[in-house]
Amino acid sequence: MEASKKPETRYPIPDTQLQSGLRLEDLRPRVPEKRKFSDWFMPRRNKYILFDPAKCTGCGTCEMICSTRNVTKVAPAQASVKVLTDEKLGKNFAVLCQHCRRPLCLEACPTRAIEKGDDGIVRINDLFCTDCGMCTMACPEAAPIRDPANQVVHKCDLCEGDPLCVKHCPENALTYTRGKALRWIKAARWSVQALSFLFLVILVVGTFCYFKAGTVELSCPTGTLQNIASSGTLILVGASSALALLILTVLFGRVFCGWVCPFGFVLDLVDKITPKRLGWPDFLKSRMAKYGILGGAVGSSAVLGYQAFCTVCPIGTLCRSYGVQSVMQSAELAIVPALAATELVERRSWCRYLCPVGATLGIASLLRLLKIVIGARKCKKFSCIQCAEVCPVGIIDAGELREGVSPKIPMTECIMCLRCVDRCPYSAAKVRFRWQKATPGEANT
Amino acid sequence: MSLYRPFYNGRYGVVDLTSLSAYTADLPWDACQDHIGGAAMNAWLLSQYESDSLILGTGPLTGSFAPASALLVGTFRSPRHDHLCHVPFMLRSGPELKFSGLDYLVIRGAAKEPCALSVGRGQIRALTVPELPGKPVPELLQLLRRSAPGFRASIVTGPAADNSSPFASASIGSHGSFDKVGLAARMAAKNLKAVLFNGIEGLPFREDHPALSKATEKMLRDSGALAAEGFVPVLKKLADGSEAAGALRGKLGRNRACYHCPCPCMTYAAPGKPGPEKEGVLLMDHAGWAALSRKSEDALPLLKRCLELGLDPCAVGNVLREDRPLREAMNAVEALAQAGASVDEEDYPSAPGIESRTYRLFGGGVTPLASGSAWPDRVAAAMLLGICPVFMQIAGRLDRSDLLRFLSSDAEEIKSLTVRLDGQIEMVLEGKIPEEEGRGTGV
Repeated sequence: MEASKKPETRYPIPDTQLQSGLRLEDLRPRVPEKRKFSDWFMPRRNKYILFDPAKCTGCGTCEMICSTRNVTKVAPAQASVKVLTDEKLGKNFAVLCQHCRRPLCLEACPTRAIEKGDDGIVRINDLFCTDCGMCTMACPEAAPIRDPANQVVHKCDLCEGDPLCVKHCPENALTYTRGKALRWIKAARWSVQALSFLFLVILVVGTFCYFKAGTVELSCPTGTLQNIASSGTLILVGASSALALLILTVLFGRVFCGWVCPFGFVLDLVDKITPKRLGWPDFLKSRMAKYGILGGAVGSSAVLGYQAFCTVCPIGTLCRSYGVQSVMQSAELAIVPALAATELVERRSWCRYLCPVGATLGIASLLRLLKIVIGARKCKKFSCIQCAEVCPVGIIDAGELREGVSPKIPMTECIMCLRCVDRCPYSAAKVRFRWQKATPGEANT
Repeated sequence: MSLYRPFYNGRYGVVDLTSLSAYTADLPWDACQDHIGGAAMNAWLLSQYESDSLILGTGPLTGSFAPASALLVGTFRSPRHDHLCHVPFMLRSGPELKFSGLDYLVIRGAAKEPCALSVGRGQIRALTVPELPGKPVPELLQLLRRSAPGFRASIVTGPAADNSSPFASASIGSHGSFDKVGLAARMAAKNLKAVLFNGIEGLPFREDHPALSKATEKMLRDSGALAAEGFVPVLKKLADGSEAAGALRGKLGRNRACYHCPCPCMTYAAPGKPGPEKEGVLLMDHAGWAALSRKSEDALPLLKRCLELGLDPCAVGNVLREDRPLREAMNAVEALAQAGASVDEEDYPSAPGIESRTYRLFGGGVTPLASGSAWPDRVAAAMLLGICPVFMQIAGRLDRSDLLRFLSSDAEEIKSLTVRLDGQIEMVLEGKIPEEEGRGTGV
């Protein structure tokens, strides 16, 4: 007689576990985020509903039409979108799911009933949802809405890619979009970075450290500081040659770090192929460390009598060692990949914590003319936080945004890459002159 | 089965404030079939109960996909001139009553202590809150939020009604209303401070309604009827509107629309320099603003105070002498909120080109945009079907048949409905209560 075959299940459960009891992991194992190779270079931008508070009149049509899908009735209280009205200030606000890249509701759901699909839509799987309401508490936007009549939780699923609320909004206050990213900033930055790399590293060797063409002299300000310290004399021509970068910084902030630095370009390339970061332990995260290294570099130059740090500077090394004309200097060559590897732990770790050139420019940027403001009246705040996600030096506080507070941006740390300006779908991140007054809702930096 | 059945919950509530008791009953479908709904059905219900009763009701299209289906009608005998009056309440009050599970609410008797009614999930709850009288409307709403949290719409009265001022006006939340004929005084006589609606239920809808709604909106947009949005464009259509609009320059904020209305006719405004964090008021009453701004440069703070006191701004505009300093004008407002204040009854409330009796029949505040016989005709149709009467005038291209298509898709039935609607409009405009013989006995 043929032995009865065990039925095949999707998630086979070992007999030992059946005896010891089931775990959630056995029933609903976490599905790892699928990332295509192309995502490393150009992350997917899924569509979502963009709300324009300036156009919303609070008529509630979105609630009406949404409820017809949720409960097949006209019942605004049972919709997945909620229109809030501030009666005193006269503001209307639609609360709806932003389908975050890293949804907090998904993390909070104790039964793992919330799933994020490949299409970017965050859905509640009714089979597993127990209507406990943890997602409503976890979401900073309070987008999963508890239906007061039936005590179940409703959440926007973008009507599976064809949102009814967008179609029916009489004022076109809702738009189904991939975001209003400027994109040209990104294209311009990558182009400038690539050209700078080509010029400084491949074509003309050593140009970052010192460059002379006729009467024009340009030099690295940190190198010049070390030079002055090591030689003990202030050479006016040398000092003035370092001024170019400092003046650029005073005018536009640390644009060199974000747009020109060849090592920064290498770090951005490494960032593109880094799947997951571990992050440094907190005790190692000190942005003041780079100022210490700057002081150390200048001090050691004075003591040793030569520009000690320049021998290990990854920017200088890159320019000197990788040129077509240069012989591959193996010892110096190792510096660049070794420091570039820090990118695997945290984005732009070198720039955040270690770079003395960045420290010098940071000091110069105290006199900057420009600033970046986020959290103007247009900012959606709470759950969008795309600006915080794209900031390579991590100076935009996602926690503050989630609390609805406009974040203060330390401009001495900002590398003016303008990723936040590029990415913000609400045009709330802006470049302003430092003397321009902050409008309500913006934080002065 | 009644044609209107899918558009109603089929229940109405009766509250006796004297004994603080309430019950709900099935809607009499025969009467509903005859009277369609809204003002006419309210008048019929009033005929079934004591003459001092207050009826709050909805139309068949209230809360539906028909444009601006925001109407709640308050029907009562005005204590000022003993005429039947139908006061329109918009924003979300109508749909919220309907989504609370009741279509009509009959309020009988008078409470011994100040009370509020909370309607939700097909039930009515009376709340006795002794500290309610005398409180300005915003404060009153805060107090009510503590006693009955979660209500989504409300009709309240302010200190003016508590002081028995003849110019007290019932208010939708803190925004005021078109009540200039004494609904607030009727509520005050009943010791009723507020009616709160918590509409968390829903109503079924016909499958083609969303598309029909979109098509109607497109038709109106193409015709240019919805081109000018906001309080000011509507205000400018009034006789002295341009001057009144000038007083709002630099003070306007965002527009606000009633429930499912494609044409916002209200706008927020803040006194002084405009600023996003500045507390303002919702400009809703076009006639009230015109009356106030004609007399004072400081009309906005005066309007704000009127709304706090639950006072009709038209009455203030009538008594105010021109170019009085703000403090004196404020004193005049306070005086008007007291008992014994008087305004020339001939002028108040009235609108140029509209018969005073008809204007007062619909609350004495519905913005007079249409002229001649069009105004009463369009307003009465709106008050029967449950559509905002201001929108009905703005959307001049909107025919009755366009709205009746939401009730039936059959052309023959629409024809017979049009005839019935015409009959009911005539009856409502006569201002008579249909069947006096059954009075006081209930349905």
